[in-house]
Amino acid sequence: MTLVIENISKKIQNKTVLHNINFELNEGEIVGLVGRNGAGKTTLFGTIAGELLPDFGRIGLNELDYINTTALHDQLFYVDMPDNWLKYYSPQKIKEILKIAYKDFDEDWYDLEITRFDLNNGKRIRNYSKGMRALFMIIVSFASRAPYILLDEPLDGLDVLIRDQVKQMIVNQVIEHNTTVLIASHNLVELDTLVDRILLLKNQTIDRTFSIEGNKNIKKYQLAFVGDKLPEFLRGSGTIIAQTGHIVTIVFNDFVEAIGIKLAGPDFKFVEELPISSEDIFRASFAKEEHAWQQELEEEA
Amino acid sequence: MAARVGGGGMKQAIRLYTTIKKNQFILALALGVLLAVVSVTSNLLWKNITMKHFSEQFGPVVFGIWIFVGATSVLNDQLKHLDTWLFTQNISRLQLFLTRVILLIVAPILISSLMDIVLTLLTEPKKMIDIISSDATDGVQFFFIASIMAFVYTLIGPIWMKIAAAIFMLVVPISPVTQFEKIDNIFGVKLFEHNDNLQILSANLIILAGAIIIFMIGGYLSTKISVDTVDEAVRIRHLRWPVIIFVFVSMYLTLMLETRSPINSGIIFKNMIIPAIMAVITFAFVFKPTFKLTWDK
Repeated sequence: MTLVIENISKKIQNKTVLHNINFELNEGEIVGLVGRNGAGKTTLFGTIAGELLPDFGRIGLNELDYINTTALHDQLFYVDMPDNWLKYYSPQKIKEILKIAYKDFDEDWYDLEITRFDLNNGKRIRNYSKGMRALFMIIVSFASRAPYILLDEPLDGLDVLIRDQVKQMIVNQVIEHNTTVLIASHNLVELDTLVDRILLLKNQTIDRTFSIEGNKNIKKYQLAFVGDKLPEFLRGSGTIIAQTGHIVTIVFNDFVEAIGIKLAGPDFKFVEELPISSEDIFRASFAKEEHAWQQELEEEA
Repeated sequence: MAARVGGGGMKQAIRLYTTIKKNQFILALALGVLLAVVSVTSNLLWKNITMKHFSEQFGPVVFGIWIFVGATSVLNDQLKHLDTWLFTQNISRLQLFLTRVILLIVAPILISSLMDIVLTLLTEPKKMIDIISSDATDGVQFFFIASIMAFVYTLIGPIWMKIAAAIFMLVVPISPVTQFEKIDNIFGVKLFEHNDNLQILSANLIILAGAIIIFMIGGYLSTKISVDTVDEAVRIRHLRWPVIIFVFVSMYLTLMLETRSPINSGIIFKNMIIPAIMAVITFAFVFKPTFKLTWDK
């Protein structure tokens, strides 16, 4: 089974928020969705789930039209965060409702997890701490046993120990039930250890899909340059992540042989390739914006 | 698949909404039963002295309260973002709309009328026909008012605007309609002279048909509603100007109908002032024009 997002476009108050969004989610995949604040991640989730009506495009579950075939809607679980109806009810009442909403709702597992994490069954969710609420959201999402789950910033507000447990829970559930999970997050470090691939939402569209293994042309280096001035070609071909004196950490968005030759030249006394992370790829993708922003800051200073 | 979307989807919508609203339904029912007890007790204890009027009005009072509670409950759904989630469920927007009509409007009218009939049968069987007739007339009028409310709730976005629009509709265009107890009042001609029952029945049938048409339009609009328009005064773009024109025309007609003095150009012009102000206010909320005041050259 594949969830197909095809040419989805959406305007909100005459402003294009999504433009020709295309991607597929396959069975048993964990996919990350990253983008800058206001890039349209929540709008995209809302459109896939059916909260918002797209202006154009198709969402399909295999060959079926997902948007217009409401009977298919229990195949996907999504609750808008942070303001949603769940917080006004207790886990007990939510179970009662979701048992009707999702035909495969796993009551036993739900009860087990509520007890395991010591979440008060009779207390309304709004009285939970932020971390407990986030944890409850994960439990309720997977208890639905919907084959597709959309999670918006699921690790936000969780302490390190709970975060690890939640990540483990996501992985276990995906393995056990072949669930497909689409996770929107700002926390790229967390996504690195969790997802199979990442979708980058930029300029109202999916700018690129990447997995760390699949991005051989993006490279990260730490280097020490000779002389007082940073070699000019570095600014033009990469994104400088950090600079302390003559030591520079840089990500090259499109590493070509010519850059390698220059790095091996006399301008540098030390060059070392570093392992690349999703965060580096994200930075590299927004290199132009970051460069302009840095220049603006420098001018202001 | 199509069969599930139809009948199965409607059953699912009713099951889901009933489960969510179970506590409110129980409370509303308890309130109705309490009113029934008060009605019966007053009838038995103070027969023909006090509360007589109340017992005759039991059905309409109960369904009036229940429909009001239902309207508040729908606003609460929006406040709690329950609507947003229900749009993602395996029920269509139209099925959700119809479910609310059935559970929050039709069921209260039918159940309270039934309670009224049973109570009358137990206490004053002779009044049975009068009570049925009165419940039917009031039921149709409430059904009509509810249809307008459902239309307003669907079309208008923010909660406070829904309430304001509902009050406007109750005060301005609806109140004259609910005065039409006989068909002569509607058409201004004698259609069924000397036959009051036929006149009342015809008027009720016309109001009922009007309500059903308004519900159908409301149901159609509900399928076009997207969550992103929740902050828009008018959620369907094409209806923004018609809404402003409607505010002006309905207000103007109401004022003209209420004018007792002979109509002249002064009256015609004077009666345009308030509707014009109302239309301008509506325009401001619908189109949110921004005026930039600047002294810069």
